[in-house]
Amino acid sequence: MSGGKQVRCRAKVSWAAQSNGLLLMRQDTGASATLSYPEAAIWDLLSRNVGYERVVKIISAMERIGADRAADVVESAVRQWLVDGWLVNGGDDG
Amino acid sequence: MQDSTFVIPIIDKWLIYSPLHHLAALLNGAAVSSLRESNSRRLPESLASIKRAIEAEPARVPSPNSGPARPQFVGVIPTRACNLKCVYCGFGASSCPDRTMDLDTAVALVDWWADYAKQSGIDTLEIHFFGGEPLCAPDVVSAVVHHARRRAAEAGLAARFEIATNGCFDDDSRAFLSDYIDSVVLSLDGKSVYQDRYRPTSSGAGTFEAVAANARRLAASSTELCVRTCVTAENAKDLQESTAWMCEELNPSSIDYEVLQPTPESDAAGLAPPDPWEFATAFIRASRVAAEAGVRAVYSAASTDELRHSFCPVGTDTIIASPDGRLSACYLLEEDWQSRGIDLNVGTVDAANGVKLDQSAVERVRALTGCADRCRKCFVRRHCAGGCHVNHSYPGHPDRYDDFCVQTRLIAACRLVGGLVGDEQVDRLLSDRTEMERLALRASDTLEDWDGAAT
Repeated sequence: MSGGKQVRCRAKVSWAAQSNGLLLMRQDTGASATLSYPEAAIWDLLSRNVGYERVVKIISAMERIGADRAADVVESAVRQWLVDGWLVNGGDDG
Repeated sequence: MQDSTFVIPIIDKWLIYSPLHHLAALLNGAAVSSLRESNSRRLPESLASIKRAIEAEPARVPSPNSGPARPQFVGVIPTRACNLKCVYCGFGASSCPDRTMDLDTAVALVDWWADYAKQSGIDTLEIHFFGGEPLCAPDVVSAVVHHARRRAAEAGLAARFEIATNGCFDDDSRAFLSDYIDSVVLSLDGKSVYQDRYRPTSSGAGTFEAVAANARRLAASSTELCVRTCVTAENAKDLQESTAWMCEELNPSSIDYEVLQPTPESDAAGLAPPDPWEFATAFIRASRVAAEAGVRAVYSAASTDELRHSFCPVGTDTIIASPDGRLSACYLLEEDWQSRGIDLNVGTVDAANGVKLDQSAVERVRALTGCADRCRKCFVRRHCAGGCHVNHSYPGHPDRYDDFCVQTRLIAACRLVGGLVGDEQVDRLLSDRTEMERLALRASDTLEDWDGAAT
């Protein structure tokens, strides 16, 4: 999911756009989570195979922050999704 | 009453039409004469009720806004570049292919629009994407959509997005459109025989299969799909057939028929606009096919369900941002309107300074929407509003009806008559060129000028 980061969406996770962000759902457990911005944008962009560098540029513009800080925001979000089980490392079974 | 009520010849009858009173009726000449001359007390009740209706207080004449700008929507042109090389295109993809809007500029535009809408009492943050092909600058589209959604949610506004696209995009882009774009206006000029020739890729390959496949998938999603068809002298002959195919195969919400605007490129490709008489006939017949399928057929200029003072964004305070941060009232190329002696620029946007809107320029553009001389006595004037300010009602335009007027007058009349008495009378009209000319070329439609001739 995250270009060059070797993570991917866990199997049976779906998502839907909401007015204020994005709703993640796990079909196997029924768990859900609401992503507000900028995380909603990060998830959407990565899930549509937008390259990591481009995601960072978009987040940098949206947040009006430099590229380094934007990269931190993106990577922090991805780490949290790994912790929360929405993403898995590339080779792991979802 | 008399300058807002029109009388249009429909073979052996007369169509009385008063757009400001939302009134249409089909009468014979004696009835029109009575209506014009008599005191309503001496009229039979059926005519007296029409006379009372057209003497009642009319609806407000549509007019430009006054005071601060009040945009209906903000337009974004992320790039003029395009992945197609349509043979008739005059939108500049070949002359300025590489310029893409800066992401910081795009975000600054959204920030301004959100703040402006909130403080102006505008409840929807509406943004339309034009091109080139907007999806050739996908990061700009993504940044604008996501930032606008966030700002709208924060401000308690609705967000609405529309995109004009050529339909040649990958699955990821299609998923994005399905998820976030409310209305997709997709260009498709008919079946492969036309689409592949008129709208090839930059390498010359046909696009029909890819565009049709994307259209099908979008129509099956929650996004509204509107198909836009460019009508030429050639494909006008197959308009019914292509309409039937689109309705059956693509199931769009609407099909918008736009007559080819001649360009040096279209001339070089040997393409010409349709004959206006043939187009009007073809459109009316195609619109019946569409209606049977539950699809709305649109020829925007002749849409009588709306009173307008401007045909297009010009004069409605709409702000359209070009890739270089120039703000204007029109999505055509700057050189197009400059060649007509018109200045449609209204400001600038950039990341450092945000939006700088020139109120005097907004007012200058509003003033362009006054009624053109040739429109003053035309029954469609409150609907087509003179057509395109750059290509049709530009300063110094000829003071006589042109092909746009002819097809617009015919289609508007046919739709009004069809709504009153059904298709039979419309078919009689469309099968008689002399009667069509009598209707379409009539210099004045006003009740005041009505002479009762030819009844």
